[in-house]
Order: sequence, then C-alpha cells, then structure tokens
Amino acid sequence: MLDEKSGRYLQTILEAAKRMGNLIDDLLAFSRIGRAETRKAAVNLEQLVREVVAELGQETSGRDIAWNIGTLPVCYGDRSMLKVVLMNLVSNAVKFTRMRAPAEIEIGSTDIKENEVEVFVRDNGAGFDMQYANKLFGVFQRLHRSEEFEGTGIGLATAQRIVHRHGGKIRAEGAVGQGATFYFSLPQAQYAAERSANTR
Amino acid sequence: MNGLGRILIVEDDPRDVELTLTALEEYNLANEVVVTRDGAEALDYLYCRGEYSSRSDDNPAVTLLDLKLPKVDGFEVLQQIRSDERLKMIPVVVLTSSHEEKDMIRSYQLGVNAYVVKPVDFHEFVNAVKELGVFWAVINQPPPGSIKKAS
Repeated sequence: MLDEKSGRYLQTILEAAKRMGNLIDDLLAFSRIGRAETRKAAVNLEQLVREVVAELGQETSGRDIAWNIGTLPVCYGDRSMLKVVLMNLVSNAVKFTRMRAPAEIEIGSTDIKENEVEVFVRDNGAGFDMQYANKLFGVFQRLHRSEEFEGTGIGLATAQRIVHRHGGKIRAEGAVGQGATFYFSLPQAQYAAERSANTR
Repeated sequence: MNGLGRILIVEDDPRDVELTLTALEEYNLANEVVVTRDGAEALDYLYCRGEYSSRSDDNPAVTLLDLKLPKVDGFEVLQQIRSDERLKMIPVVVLTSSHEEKDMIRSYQLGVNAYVVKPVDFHEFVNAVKELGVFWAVINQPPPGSIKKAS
C-alpha cells in the first residue's frame, strides 16, 4: 500500500509520461509538415470544418457550446494539411472556452482580396494580451500556465507552417478575458485553377 | 553565516517548482523563496508592480531563471534586469533544460552569473538546486539593496 506522497509522485510520473508522449506526437507532426509534399486540389472548407467539429466530439461532449459555422468558400490547397490547421484552431477555441457556458465559437470567412479567401475562427474564451501577439506562433511558445490550459506550444506553429506553405498568412486578434480570433488566408480555388491553366 | 538571502524562482512548470522547493526545504532555505510563474510576473515582482506593488522594494539575493516561459521568456527578463539601473546587479542563474550552446552563449552575453542545465535525474536535480541555494543565498555576498534576513 502506497502512502499519499508516493501515490502523488506516481501520478506525477504518469502525467509527465503522457505529456512527453503528446510532445513527441506534436513535434513529429510539426517536422512532417516541413518535409511532406503538398498535394493541392480544390478543398471544400465548410465540409472540412464540419469534419473537424465532429472529430472533436469527445472534447465537446458535456460542454455547452454555441457553434456558428458560416458559409465557407472552396479554396486551393492540401486537404489533409488544411485539416490540421482547422483542427488546431478549432480545438484551441474549444480548449480556451472551457470556463464559458455557453462557449461561443464562430467559424466564417471574410472577402478581403479577389484571389484569396480568409477564414476565421472566433471564440469568447480566455483570449490573450495583444502585446504577445507576435509570439503566438512560435514553437513551444505558450501564453498560459500549464495548469490553466494544457498544451505543448506546437499547435499554432504547425498551423502557421502549413499556411505559409500555401502562400497564405495567419494572424490573431484578442484581448484578455474577451476571446480570440484567428484568421488565415489561402488562395481561392477558382483563381488557382485558372492560374495553373494559364501557365500550362 | 550571516543570514539568508531571498531567492526568486521564475519557473512555469509546477513539477519543477515543487522539486525546487523540496530541495531548498532541506536546508530551510525555502522560507525566503518567491515563486513567479512566467516572465511577466517575474518583472512585476522585480519592479514591485501589479500584485507585488506593496512589497518592500529590496532585490532578491539571487534569481533562478528558466528560459522557456509563457508571455515573456527568460532572455527578455534577463535583458530587462541588466538594463535597469536598480536591478542590474541582481545575481541571475539560468536554470534550464536547454543544452543548446546558443542559449548558453546568449545568456552569458546578456550577463548571466551562472548557467545550470537541470539534471534529469531526481537526486542530481535536488542536489544541484540545494548547492545553488546554499551558495547564492548563504555563502555569496549579494550586492547592496538585496534582502538578507538575519538567521
């Protein structure tokens, strides 16, 4: 029979091992993005978002989340990589709204430029201080303590790497306690198809 | 020995904080320890602002500084300490898991007093922290303006 202290140490060891596992998974995913070839095609972002939300069912069950998924365009990119981007952003929104009931998560698009689509993921969660906005996408960079919100600090770095590989941009806006909005831009499917037709 | 210096710990990992405090407790050094959990909080402490605005404005006898920290990282904290007239003499020891030479070089370039890689082994970690604590809080003479409580 273990005393209380030993039991807690064992618990700590288990948690540390799990965190190490997560860290290795996340680092592998991050490094893979750097090497993998992109296979680009027209991607229906709305369908992709719905897949991502469905796959997050385990994390969202029992939670009071008001989803608002707007009309999303078809873009041109690597479907599986773009799914990683959306998975990271949407699961972050779910994570950082943990203390909200209801949590409000909105996914939509804005028309900024002719040949580009911009998608945003907005939440009413913990938010962040804009003075640290430039650090959000750095590897291992975290803005919250691990006991507030767990994480390896690799998700947004991976998302940024993928968006950059697509020639797009990613940015974030937020305020402490008032939620965050992440935006990323990608080439529009129609334009990309025309462009490749013209260069043929 | 002529008293205990206050130790400021800047460490975001709760497990490392616990280990560090456990190590310092053995020599009763833990009484004078302040733990801050990210670089922004450490600077709030050093500048006596935010939740630390009412503390007495003496400096810690040593700061044990992690490098990977939320919000403001260890390099920035070190840089701010060294560029502030009132803070620049504070002894700073980087206590990090980074073996990267560039992190070590950058720390020394920014004027760190010591660079210690956290040992992975439990007993080695505890011993390293104990020795650091004894050296900086007891043996070393801190610069004027540091907190030194009579023991």
